[in-house]
Amino acid sequence: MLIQLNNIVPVADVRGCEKASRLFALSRPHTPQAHLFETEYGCHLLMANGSRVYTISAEIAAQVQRLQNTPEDLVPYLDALGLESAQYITEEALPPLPVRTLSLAIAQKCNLGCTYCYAQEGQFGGAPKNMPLEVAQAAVALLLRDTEPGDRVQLAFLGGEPLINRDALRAATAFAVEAAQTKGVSLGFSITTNGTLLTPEDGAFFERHGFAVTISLDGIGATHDSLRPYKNGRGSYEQILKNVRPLLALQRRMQVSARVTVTPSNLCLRETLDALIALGFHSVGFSPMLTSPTGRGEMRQEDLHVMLEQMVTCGEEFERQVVADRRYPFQNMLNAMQEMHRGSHRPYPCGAGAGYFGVSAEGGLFACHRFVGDDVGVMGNVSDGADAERQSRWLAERHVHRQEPCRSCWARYLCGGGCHHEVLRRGRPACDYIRGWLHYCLQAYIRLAERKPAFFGVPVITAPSQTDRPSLS
Amino acid sequence: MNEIQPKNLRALLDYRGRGNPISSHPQDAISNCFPGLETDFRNVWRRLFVGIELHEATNQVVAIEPGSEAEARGLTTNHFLVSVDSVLIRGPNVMPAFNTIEWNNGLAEVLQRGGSKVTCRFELLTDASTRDVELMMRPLFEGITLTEQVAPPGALTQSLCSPWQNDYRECACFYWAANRPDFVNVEIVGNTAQGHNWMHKQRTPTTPKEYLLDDPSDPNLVNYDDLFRNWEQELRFQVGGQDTD
Repeated sequence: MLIQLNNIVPVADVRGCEKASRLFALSRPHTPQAHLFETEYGCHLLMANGSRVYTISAEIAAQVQRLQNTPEDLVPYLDALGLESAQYITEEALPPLPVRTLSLAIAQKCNLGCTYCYAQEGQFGGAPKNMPLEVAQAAVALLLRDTEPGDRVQLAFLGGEPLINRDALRAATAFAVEAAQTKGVSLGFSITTNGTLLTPEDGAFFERHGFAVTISLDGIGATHDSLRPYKNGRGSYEQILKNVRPLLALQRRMQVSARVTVTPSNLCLRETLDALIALGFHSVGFSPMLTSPTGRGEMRQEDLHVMLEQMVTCGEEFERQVVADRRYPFQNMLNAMQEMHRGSHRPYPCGAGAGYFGVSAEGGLFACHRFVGDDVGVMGNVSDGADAERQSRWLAERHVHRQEPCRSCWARYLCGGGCHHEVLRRGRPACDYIRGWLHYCLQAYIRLAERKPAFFGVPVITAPSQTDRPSLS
Repeated sequence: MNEIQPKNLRALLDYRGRGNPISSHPQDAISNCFPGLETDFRNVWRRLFVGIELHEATNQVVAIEPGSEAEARGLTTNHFLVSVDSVLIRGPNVMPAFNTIEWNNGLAEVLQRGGSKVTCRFELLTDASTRDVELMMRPLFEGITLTEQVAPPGALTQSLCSPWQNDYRECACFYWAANRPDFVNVEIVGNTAQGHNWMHKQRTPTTPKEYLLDDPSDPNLVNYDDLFRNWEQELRFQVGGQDTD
């Protein structure tokens, strides 16, 4: 008899989650302009505008701390220090944006019964269907319509389970390769798959076209099986591993990564990360399940508390490995370190409704792959593209300056306001988690910048040669 | 320790030392490059290769270091740089041995090899023969700062625009810090516009309306010396596009 493990939600034990508890306290929002944090290397300041990071003296830190609940005093103080800057993000309406990435729901059906699926077991609440090839081709035409030679665009295959409609996927890819070549445009492909239908021949195909392949895996063995069973309740882990191993060995142009959806039932992230990296995945990333159509699998506050503890544990291992010059592809940290180094700042959490759209099997255009079939995110159709008025309304409404409580949060330009799909359904239950995680990432960035500057691609030049002294002519 | 240290790229690029004006940032200054009002960035190309100095506006070798590899390989001041690691830095359709203003854009493809040896191809002006010389290319950046080897103190400001001296007359692209008259006393005759060059010396209302093309050696046009010594008399007021006194 199969035990329905997915009906039992464990009680998250936040005792012993000291790091997370401390991070929640340290990352509380005070003033939207700036955020203080400390490391063994001293006191530091994040200026939200432009995501600028500074090391500051203890005196300045103390003064910022004193003033941090009175922005009318804090802002002139920071200005006098020379930390003012022109506003990086304004609410100026974006000019009409060309399509740059399309995600095709090439199969609106699935062979798994994952407890939390945003597509409600693949069908988006409708009848199961495949995308006709003509619709896929029209999507490719839309993707390439406003391109110039030398541009780069992306085509993603999702679902449901995209490999259920393998024929259309293969034909659409071939069509896209030729069409892009004719226009002199570079086209990247990706697929997110549950992995149960993968064949070695799929692997060869993805390798030939340099696909970014994402396998959805929620843990090892029974942990995964309890969340991502076949529709008949049987576990899928063994089959997935069997199918994926050849691809992991083959990947050169192709990159095979694992994506873990984090629910209350699979919070052992460190174990999962180590195991998946050891299997040879190019990278492994975690994403908390915040809104589930059935309500099952949703993260509660105590689960997010444990998740933060686990994520920090993974991050600390990442730091150790980087300092030791070893590859440890924890995707969340890889992204965070790059973004912190650059000072990435964004008024939106992603490109949804801007340059990125999801396409339904019938050829409807939606704000992203999660909004397929959902009126809330409807944008247009593949023949006509996005409706300009609808698009500007979406971008105006979703701007982080218009969101609550984002407007008063120091993390708003790093976070962008949170996944639109999650926020519109459930609001923002994860703000404390996000701030705690970002606070940790800021600290980790400082540490790694000190201990391993080469990690950030910063050229490190040893003392110039004594004989190289060009004189001014 | 300084009180405030910018750490990430955005903070470093945004940084403006206390007391420095807004135009300390290139994006908030004029930042032209032929030569330049605030800095002459082209001067970093002069010392890009160990053993030689290039002219910042063309690609001519202007100096060879005694005892260097470049000297040993027979480079002279009649040589012009043509390519670096097979990347052409000369566009098509140019006069032999002359390059366009943007010649150094071609270097963008090879700059990340700074700190290593590259193959430089040089062409001799006199007979268009070429020779390949392996030269060490200096790194352009350390972190986000220009290295002292390519930008020693003073290098970036040693040759700037002179808006109120030579460039008043000289600016060949008509990019000048402020507008000045050019085509004056214009009248339409039939379907042509006729008028004077504002630099046309001692013109009167009866001077034929023929626009003299700019040439500093044309005695009918104001020259540099005239401007330096006597601009208040040589340059005439314009009202409504017409000479007036």
